[in-house]
Amino acid sequence: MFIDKLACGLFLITLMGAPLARELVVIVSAKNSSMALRPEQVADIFLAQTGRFPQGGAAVAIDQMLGSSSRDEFYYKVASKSPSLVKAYWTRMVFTGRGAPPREESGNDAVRELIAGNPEMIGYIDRDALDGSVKVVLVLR
Amino acid sequence: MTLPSAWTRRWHSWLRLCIDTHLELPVFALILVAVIWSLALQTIRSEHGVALATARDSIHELADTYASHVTRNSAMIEQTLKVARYAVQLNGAAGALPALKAADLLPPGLVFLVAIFDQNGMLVASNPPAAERSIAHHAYFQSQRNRDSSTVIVSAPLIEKAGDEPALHFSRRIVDAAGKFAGVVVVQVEPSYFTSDYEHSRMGKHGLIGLFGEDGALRTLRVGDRTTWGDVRLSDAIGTPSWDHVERMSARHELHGIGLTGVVAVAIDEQLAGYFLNRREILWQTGIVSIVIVLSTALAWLWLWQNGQMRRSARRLKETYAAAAEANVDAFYVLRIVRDSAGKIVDFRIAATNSRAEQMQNLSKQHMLGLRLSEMLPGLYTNGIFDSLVQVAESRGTFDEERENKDMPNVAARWVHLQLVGVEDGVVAIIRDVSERKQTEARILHMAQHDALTNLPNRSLLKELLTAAIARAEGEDDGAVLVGFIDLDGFKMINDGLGHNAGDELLQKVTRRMQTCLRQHHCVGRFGGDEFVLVLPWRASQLDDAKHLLEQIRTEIARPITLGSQDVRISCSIGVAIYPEHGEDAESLLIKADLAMYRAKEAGKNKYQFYDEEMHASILSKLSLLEDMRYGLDHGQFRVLYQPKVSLHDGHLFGVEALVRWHHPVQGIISPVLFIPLAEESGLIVALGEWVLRTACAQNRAWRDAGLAPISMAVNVSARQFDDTELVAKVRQALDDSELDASGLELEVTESLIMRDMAMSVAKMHALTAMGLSLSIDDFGTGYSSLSSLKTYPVSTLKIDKSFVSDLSTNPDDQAIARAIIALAHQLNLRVIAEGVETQEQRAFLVENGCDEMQGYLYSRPVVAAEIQLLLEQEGMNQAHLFERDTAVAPLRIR
Repeated sequence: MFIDKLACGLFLITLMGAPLARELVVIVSAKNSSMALRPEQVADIFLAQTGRFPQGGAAVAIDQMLGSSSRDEFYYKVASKSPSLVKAYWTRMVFTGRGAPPREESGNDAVRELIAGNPEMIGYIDRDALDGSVKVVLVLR
Repeated sequence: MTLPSAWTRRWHSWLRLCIDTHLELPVFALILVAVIWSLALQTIRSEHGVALATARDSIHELADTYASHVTRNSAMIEQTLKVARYAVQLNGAAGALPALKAADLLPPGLVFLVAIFDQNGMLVASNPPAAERSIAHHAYFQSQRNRDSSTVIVSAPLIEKAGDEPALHFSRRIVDAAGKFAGVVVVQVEPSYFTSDYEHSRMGKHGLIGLFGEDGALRTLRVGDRTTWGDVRLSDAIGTPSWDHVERMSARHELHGIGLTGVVAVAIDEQLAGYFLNRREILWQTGIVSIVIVLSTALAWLWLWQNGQMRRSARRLKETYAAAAEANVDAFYVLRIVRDSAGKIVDFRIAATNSRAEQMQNLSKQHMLGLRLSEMLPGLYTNGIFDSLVQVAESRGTFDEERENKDMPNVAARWVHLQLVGVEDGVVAIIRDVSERKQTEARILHMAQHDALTNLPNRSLLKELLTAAIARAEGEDDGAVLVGFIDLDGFKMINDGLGHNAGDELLQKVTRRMQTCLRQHHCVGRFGGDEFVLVLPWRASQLDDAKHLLEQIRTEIARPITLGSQDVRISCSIGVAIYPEHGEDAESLLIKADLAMYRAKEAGKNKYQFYDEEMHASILSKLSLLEDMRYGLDHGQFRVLYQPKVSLHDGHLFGVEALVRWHHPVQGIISPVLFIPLAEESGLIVALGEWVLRTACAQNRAWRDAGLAPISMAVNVSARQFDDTELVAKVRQALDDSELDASGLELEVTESLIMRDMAMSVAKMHALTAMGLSLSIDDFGTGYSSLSSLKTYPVSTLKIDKSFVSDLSTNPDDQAIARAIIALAHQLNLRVIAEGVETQEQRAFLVENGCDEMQGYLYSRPVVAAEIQLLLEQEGMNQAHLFERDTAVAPLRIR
């Protein structure tokens, strides 16, 4: 536990130390009716705790690629989980057959495009990569 | 005693013992505690069983779940391997994985690494992408290359390069179209993947979960939070492993097809933690309940025991008290207070009594119990007992009293000792019959205060009565008390002559006569001997009346009294002193009455005499003279003179009479007429007479030693001297001390002295003459004479009293008496001497009538010893001049 916390802390320091503080935004398709989501609601969808948006529509999470910095930052910010904790979480989920990690798309644009065309999907990208095809439900600072 | 009865008795006694609360209570408590403990232990045991069973069920369930998870994952991995191999066959080694990925047929890259190696063990492709590497050195690769089998091989955890996480490699052989070995497809997964099933909630901190290969070697193992691999055998993980010594309960599942054995184990302590907690709670509760039971039992027992002790001691005390009370000679009554509605004590009720009380009251116990005291004692509220009872009851004090029994009509005792002791809510009354003691006391007091012979008050009581009478008279205006001192005249004569019984009878009769004369408030007491004292309260203004009473008493006593067959006459002399005229207190009144009585005697007896101050003066002078006489005897103021006795036949000086003289330093010569009676009365005559006797004997011896003609020495013996039992011894002593021959001593006694007790006197005279001395009868003819007795006296001489001699020349009566005496003496062969011869006429008459000897002033007055010596010397030289010198001596009268 202590090691985990330490790792988290170190990870956070790395992030803070980044020359340009990046803003992540959680997005859904512009056609999606969802308005705004709280971080824990987002985390529940991404950690396969629920398969639906709070409004009731089916939700499919789209992850950034394993090892990408936006992915690590995202999980830290919505679920307070380091990459190893995320991995352990999914290890257990997969082993016990309760779920599988979200589908991965490589890069902000790929994610945005995929989501824009699919109202059930939810993902996260750098704020810089935003466009009108998607709408922001949560800004992660 | 038969066996069964003994057994029964023992059984009964045992039963009694059991019933006794002392034993019953602890036994009961012990049983209770035992029951509670057995219940608790049984509960614990059953809970233990349940907990174990639950744990076992749980572990089996866990193992089943685990096995199913492992089986499913193995199947999934196998499926992935099959799919990957198929894709390789379709798309070639490099194109297989992208195709599968595109078809979403690859497992999540987050957990699984899917890799394809060529026939040389070099990495061809992987998802997620990995660095180039070789697996040719791994045993599983060699196995896959060397054998023609499609089975999946699961490796032990392998580390590709330092710093990497270990991984399990699941591999499957790939063959080319020709069926030749073309490499392997591998799915890598971290060992911890297979232990991620670990649930803290069910397996605790020391749970164990892991996989072992068919070879028994470890694939992966998680113990608590630690995942491990390496050199651990399956057998190590079962039971109590050596690395942490935690006792575990385990279940395993062999997973056929993939050659693995799943093991799940839990720490027994953890699984049974709930049970342990429960057990501890039960033990605690049971312990506390036991302690509470034991303590409360102990307290209850202590309380009961103390109570029992108290009850026992109270019972013992009660029994002891009852026994003591019952056996007591005193009557006991336990009285309970009866109060009215206001709480005031109004009566007492008898609550308990003893047998003595029954006897005393002549009532049965049943009758007395519950009886109110006021019913038993009619005078309860008026005789003071009730007040005493209330006082004692309220103060819890005690009260003691001896009282005459007038309160209890049933009780025969005349005097009772009543003791009251206040107790709680009542009083204990103890009554003792003290009548006998009281009677004895009264008798003793009467005896102490009364004369046994006459039953008259004795000296001490009479003094008290007199003092009381004085006190009464003092309080009256006209009060007076006459004190009469009565002495019977001549009582001694009757007592000696007729015997003591006659004397006693006389005293009793005289007492009765006196009592007939007295009025109620008068009293008479006896002071001893023949002395009586009258106490007569009187009016001071009517004292003349008292003289009538005194006269009446005197005449009453003087009447003839018959004693036995004989009538006697006795008179009395009464001296009277009057309060307040003659004295203020009993003592001085008695002394003055006594003085007055003496004066009455002196004045001729048979009369009464009132005291006057002159008597007091005379007695004072007498007392002072007596004191002087004692002093004078000790200090040589007395002298002895000697009066010569001569023969009337030849004028020869044959003896002397010793006569004592007192030369008082202040008053000069004091006449023997004054001091001799006083000495006789006071008893000093005994000492004085002895001194004279010794002096005279010594003098006679001195004359003889001086070579003079031996003469006889006459010494007078008084009544007191004669009565002295030591007389004979003293005479003997005087003779011995002076070494005088007894023939040189002559003792002169009077006839009245002899007459007082003839037998004794004669015996004494014989004792004296037996020594060799001679006796003469002095003053012959003046008192009573018993001529018949005279002949029995061992005397040698009769002495004619000078009262006959003095008028001899003129009084024919005296001449007749003198002649008769001379004749009588000669008839009895006694010599006759005349004393007080002063004239030639008297001498001539005596010579003519044959009198033998004479003494008197005619020849010589009493003279000092030296003169006697001269006379004797002269006589020795010239006897012829005797008569001439006689006439020349001047007649000096001494009486």
